[in-house]
Amino acid sequence: MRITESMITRGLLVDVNDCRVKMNESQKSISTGKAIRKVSDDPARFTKASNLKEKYSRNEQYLQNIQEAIGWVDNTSTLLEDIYSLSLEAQEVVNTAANLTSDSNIRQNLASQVDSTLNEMLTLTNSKYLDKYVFGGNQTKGQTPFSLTEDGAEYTGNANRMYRKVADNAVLAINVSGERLLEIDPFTPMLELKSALEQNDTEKINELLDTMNTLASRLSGLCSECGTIKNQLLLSQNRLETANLNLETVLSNLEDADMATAITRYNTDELAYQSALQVISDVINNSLLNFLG
Amino acid sequence: MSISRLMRLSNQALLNSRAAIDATANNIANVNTDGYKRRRTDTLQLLGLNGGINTLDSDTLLRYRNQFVETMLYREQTNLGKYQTTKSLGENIETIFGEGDDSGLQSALTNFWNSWQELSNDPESMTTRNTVVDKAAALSSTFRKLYDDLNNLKSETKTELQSKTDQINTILNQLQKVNRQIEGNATGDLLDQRDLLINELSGFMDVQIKQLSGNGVIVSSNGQILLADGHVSTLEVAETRSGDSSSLEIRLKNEGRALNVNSGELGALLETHKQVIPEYIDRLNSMAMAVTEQVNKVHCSGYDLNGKKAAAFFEASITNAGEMRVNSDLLGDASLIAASRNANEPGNGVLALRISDLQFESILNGRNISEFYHTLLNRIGNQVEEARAQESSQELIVNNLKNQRDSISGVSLDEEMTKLIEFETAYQAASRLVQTIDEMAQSVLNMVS
Repeated sequence: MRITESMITRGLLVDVNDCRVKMNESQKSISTGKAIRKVSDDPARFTKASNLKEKYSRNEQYLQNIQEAIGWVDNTSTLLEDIYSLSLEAQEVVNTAANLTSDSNIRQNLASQVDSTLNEMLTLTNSKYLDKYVFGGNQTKGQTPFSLTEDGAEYTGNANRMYRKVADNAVLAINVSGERLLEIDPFTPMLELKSALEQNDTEKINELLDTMNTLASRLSGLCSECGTIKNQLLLSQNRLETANLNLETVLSNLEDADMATAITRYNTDELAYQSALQVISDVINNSLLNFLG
Repeated sequence: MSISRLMRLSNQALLNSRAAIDATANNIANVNTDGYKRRRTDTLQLLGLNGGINTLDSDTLLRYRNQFVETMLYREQTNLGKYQTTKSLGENIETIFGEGDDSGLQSALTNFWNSWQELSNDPESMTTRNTVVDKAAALSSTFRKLYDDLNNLKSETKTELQSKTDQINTILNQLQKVNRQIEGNATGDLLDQRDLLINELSGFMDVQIKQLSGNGVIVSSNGQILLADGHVSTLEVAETRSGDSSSLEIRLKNEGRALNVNSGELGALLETHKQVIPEYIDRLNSMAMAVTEQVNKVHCSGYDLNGKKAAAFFEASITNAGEMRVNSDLLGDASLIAASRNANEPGNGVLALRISDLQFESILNGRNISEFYHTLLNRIGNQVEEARAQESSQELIVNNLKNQRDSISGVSLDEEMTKLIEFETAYQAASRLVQTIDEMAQSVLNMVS
């Protein structure tokens, strides 16, 4: 085949350009650290990486949810434990009044002790965390959930649970609503105890021994329910953190450029480029004119 | 054999050599000229078979060319024009969606869904409520921007189409002038120029050339004659509107007929304008409308912080992504956002969770919004990747054909130098011949003096 100057030049330029294109690719990989920078680089991998990034981001949000939930649950736990302690105090009072003394004066003193315990308990059940009522169900603002009447407590909250999303298809209920407390009803026995002590009603006091026992153990049960919720949260947290660690690895494998490979490739491309340039200068300078006299 | 005949022969020899050197000189001078086809002397004319002495000038030199290769080259250049333009327009669309970093639609959507979860954690707080409004506004503005950018690209395509058409018209006019001159006197330079113009035209659209007996040509494109018998057509871009959509076509001005454009740069621009971009705009619109509709549906079933039944979250009844907006009432007062399923339960965030869960629901053609968007991105990526591959293989084909053409028509300096030496020697020999004959004539004359 007959070769002309224009063919040689064309071939050389195309090859040199190819070298430059390759060098450009390698250089971009190195400077961005990513092997895939846009969809058209590798559509299938890009889409996969996109999906993983979304999952990662969702998991981050769930971790955030869990973090905040743990704060709430810890607080609820502490409050319930305090309430439980108060019920133990009341239990002691009943024991003392039933078994140790039947002196009416002492009983009066005990009555006022019960009164202050009762008030503390009321305060505890009306506590707020981050400006929201802890035991009001969804009624977190406005009127206090519990108020005392002569016969017992009145509850103006509701029984609704607060839900926190901890996975794509899982929510956890994290609160203890006042309805549960009302079910257990620490207030009525204490009110009864107070009036029984005031009236020196020994029979009533003896009745209340059992009631207070049951009350304490039920309150303790509530505490451990709270503990269970906390454990579930921690489990989810653990799971999510592990998942995200794995996702990071997979994402890196999909997206990131292996530095060693990229730099080696760049050096090779650069070498090819320089060789091509060398060849161009040799070829172009050679013609018959160099040899004619 | 008379002396005078010998004289004439030697004269012819000199002229032949001079003509050959002339051709060589022409070739060397034009080694880098675009579209130049190397010349050679026409031996039939040189031999003076019509009687008499013929003088040759560079006008009557013949060109080396291969018609077949050139026809193939035109066709493949048209394809190259198409793939190049398709690729670069595809890359523009890819850049518009811009998913290489974290500023695209995907992260706007993720942030939006996450903000509802934050709200469900803390529905009483104005901070989380305002965040929801902010993220929703960011999402809407991302949708609007994408819509605007795609539509701008579409009109730029139209502008580009018009500019290319103007270029084509200029080429056609030049072709007509050259063609007319060739019909009068077909010199090598004019023929080269015509070929160059046709070459340029082939990048834009399909061209078919028909050679006429008198050196003229007819230029047509897919059956539509553009240049013939001194008549040249002018092309224009015509837009037909039907409702919201418009379609473009290339028409012959004053004749009303449309050109059948499949390939070339024109073909790629037309197809992108008519099909490729509108498809993506459609999908974008579907996404925006689905998000608006579904979020509104759930939102309206809930209650706001003031205990009232909630209104729409986004402005309802949009027809395209360019209209997506957050309900302006919410911008002023975030307490109107419904996080709660029931009235007067400030701590109820169930509705907010429900809205966040919309991201998992199949709200678009049986897919959830993230899958739908990824399908869209995948499609763009594949189109660009394919166009890129087609472009580079087409470049190889075109270069190959150009090499074939140049192998026949191109100038090789080494060859010309060699020929120069050859012809120079012949010229020297011819002049020697003249000298010898002159001496012979002298001898004859001396015989009789």
